[in-house]
Amino acid sequence: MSSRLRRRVPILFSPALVVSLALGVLERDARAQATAPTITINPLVTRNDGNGAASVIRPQNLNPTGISFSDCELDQTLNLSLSLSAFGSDGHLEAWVGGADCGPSTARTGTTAICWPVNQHITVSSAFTVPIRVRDIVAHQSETTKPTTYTAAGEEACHVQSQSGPVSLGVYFLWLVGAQPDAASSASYPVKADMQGPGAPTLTSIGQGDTLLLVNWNPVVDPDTSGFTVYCDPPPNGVTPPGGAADASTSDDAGAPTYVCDDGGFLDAGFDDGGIDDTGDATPPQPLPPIPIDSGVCRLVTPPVTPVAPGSGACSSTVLVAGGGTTTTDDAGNQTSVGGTQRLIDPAYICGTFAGNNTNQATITGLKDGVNYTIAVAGSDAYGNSGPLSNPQCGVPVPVDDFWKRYRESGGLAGGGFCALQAVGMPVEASIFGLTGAFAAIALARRRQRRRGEGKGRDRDRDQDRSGDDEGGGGGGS
Amino acid sequence: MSSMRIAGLGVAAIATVLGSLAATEVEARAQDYGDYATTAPRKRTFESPQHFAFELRIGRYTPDIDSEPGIKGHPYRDVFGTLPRAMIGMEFDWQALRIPYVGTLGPGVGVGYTSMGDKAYITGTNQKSGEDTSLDIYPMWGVAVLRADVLLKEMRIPFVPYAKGGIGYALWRASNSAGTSSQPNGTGSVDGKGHSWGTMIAGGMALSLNPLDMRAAKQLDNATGVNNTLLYLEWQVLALNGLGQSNALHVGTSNWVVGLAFEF
Repeated sequence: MSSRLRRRVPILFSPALVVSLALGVLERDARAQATAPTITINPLVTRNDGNGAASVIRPQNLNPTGISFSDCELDQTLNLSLSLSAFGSDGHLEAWVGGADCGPSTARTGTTAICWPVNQHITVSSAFTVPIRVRDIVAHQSETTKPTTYTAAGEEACHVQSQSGPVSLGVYFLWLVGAQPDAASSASYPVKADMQGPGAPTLTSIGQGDTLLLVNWNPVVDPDTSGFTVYCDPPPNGVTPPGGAADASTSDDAGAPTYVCDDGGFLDAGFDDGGIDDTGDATPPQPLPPIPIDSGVCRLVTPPVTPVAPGSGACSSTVLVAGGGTTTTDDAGNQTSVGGTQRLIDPAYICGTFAGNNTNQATITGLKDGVNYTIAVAGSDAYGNSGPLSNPQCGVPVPVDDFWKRYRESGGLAGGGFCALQAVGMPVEASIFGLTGAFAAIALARRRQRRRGEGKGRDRDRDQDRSGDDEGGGGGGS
Repeated sequence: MSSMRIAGLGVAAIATVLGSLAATEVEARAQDYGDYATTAPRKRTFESPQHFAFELRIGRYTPDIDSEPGIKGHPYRDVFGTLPRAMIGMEFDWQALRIPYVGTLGPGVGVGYTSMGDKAYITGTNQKSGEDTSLDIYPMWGVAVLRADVLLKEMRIPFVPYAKGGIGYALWRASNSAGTSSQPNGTGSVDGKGHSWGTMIAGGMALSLNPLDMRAAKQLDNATGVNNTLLYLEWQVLALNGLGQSNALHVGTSNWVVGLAFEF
């Protein structure tokens, strides 16, 4: 030890200095204890739409606690209930969102930041509710440089996810004290966000039927797909929501009903059901005039309406617009689609939802004959997102003559009876064939069982015969 | 010893030798094939008893709907065309009674299924729509079955002529893309489903497949109890024209049926 250092040692260990240092450590510990409250988040979270109304919660099979494109478009707010204990006045509470713990300062600042603020001015008490906007939660997940101060996100935040599939995020409530960089305590609420539906399928054809359309499409390969949604414009219930262009009236293409007669029958004239005549007057139902035919089978028919090209005439929709995207087909014929514009479409336009990621056709029922419908299909995922729409096509339901109609109109009187096994919900073929097969199986099983018994009897007899022979042989030898 | 006696002894000796050879042959075959090598009753003791038969069948099916009285035109042919459809089916028989030197007699029940479908026409046109129209028929029958297996059992001729007769019944349903078809009538609507009663007669010839491979036949009997496997051709007249019913869809048919039968 040098003489210079030796002179300073008494100063370093002077009692006054030791006491002051000890007091400083104790004060710091006490402050830390007072400003590290326990934060508890109630897992039951309510939601409000942007207009303040309580949100409609999705069914359990559609991840109601997650964030979907629809949730974002509706500008929903998550209302998180917190309780705070043992908190001091020297700290404050902030809410951040990120894919990992936002407590360390490195997660919130600088180039290593992975979190962004969603509420930095939370008024605390022992129990309180913090509203967090869905758009704020999802807004910056794709940005490389995260913001450090809160700015309310707009609708564009709903389009930040470019690929389908959920992203795991967490809302972190951080208790920050003075200039301390790291959070003194924290609590998080996990949330998954999936705002991009599957790629757009390709609508291939629409078949006409009586008050129905048969829609066929090529599904795209997307592991996120859980089903497909078919949209109709005008809506199947006939009520066009605001923004819809077409109504459910009969197309102008529909001609006047006429009688079509075959040979060898006659016609029951029936009644005109009234309606509006050419002058706009309502006419009451009245008997139709006699049909001047000799012996033919006649039917009152409405000339079929030919579907028109999308966007022309009666088949136009400002709602069902192709989502676009890039569709590619691999060597095996599987289609994939990326990109495309996803839009929130009024559920009133949904005319059918169909489960299964390989579903490629659907029968849309409950439509009106003679109406030109614009039809489009979108893939849907486990969060209820409908992806970009397929190319729209037009379809017109038309009256058809199925076998039963032809039979009855030809004078057939059968029908209206029962199909007994169908009535109890059993597939007829399975049950009848099953019963007959069961008869045969039981008979065969009983036969085999009997044969086994006989076989055992024969073995027993054979054993007895053998033992008898052995005894005889022994006697002969003695 | 006269020449006549010598000749007689020679014939007797030859007969004895031939008889011995024949007996040896039969015994050898009996060792190989068990009961199937001979028709002697004593040798059949190892053949399992036979009380049942089970048939699998397939045949053409064109229902007689267009021949229904009161029908104008050809609704069935217009919609489904003239191409016969296939019917698959099965039958289970109990060979309750064995008539000596004739065969077996007993009751049997059977069921089949056939379906015809096409695209419905757009009303007033000859243009097909996208909507399916179909007719499903489930014919059933309960019959008495006489199988004259005397040829097979006693004379080793592998043919079994047989005849069946009894009642027939069918459940049927006409449907389209929206489900069961329905047509309005004066008071409401008439659903396209119902049942039709009738009669069923059939006759056919079965060919026993056992002689093709006696060893396999024996093993099959030992393993499963199936005595005979037969390939058969049958003419079936299923007259389901509404026996005792006022209005019935005539879903019967007359057609050839082929199939496999297993007696056990």
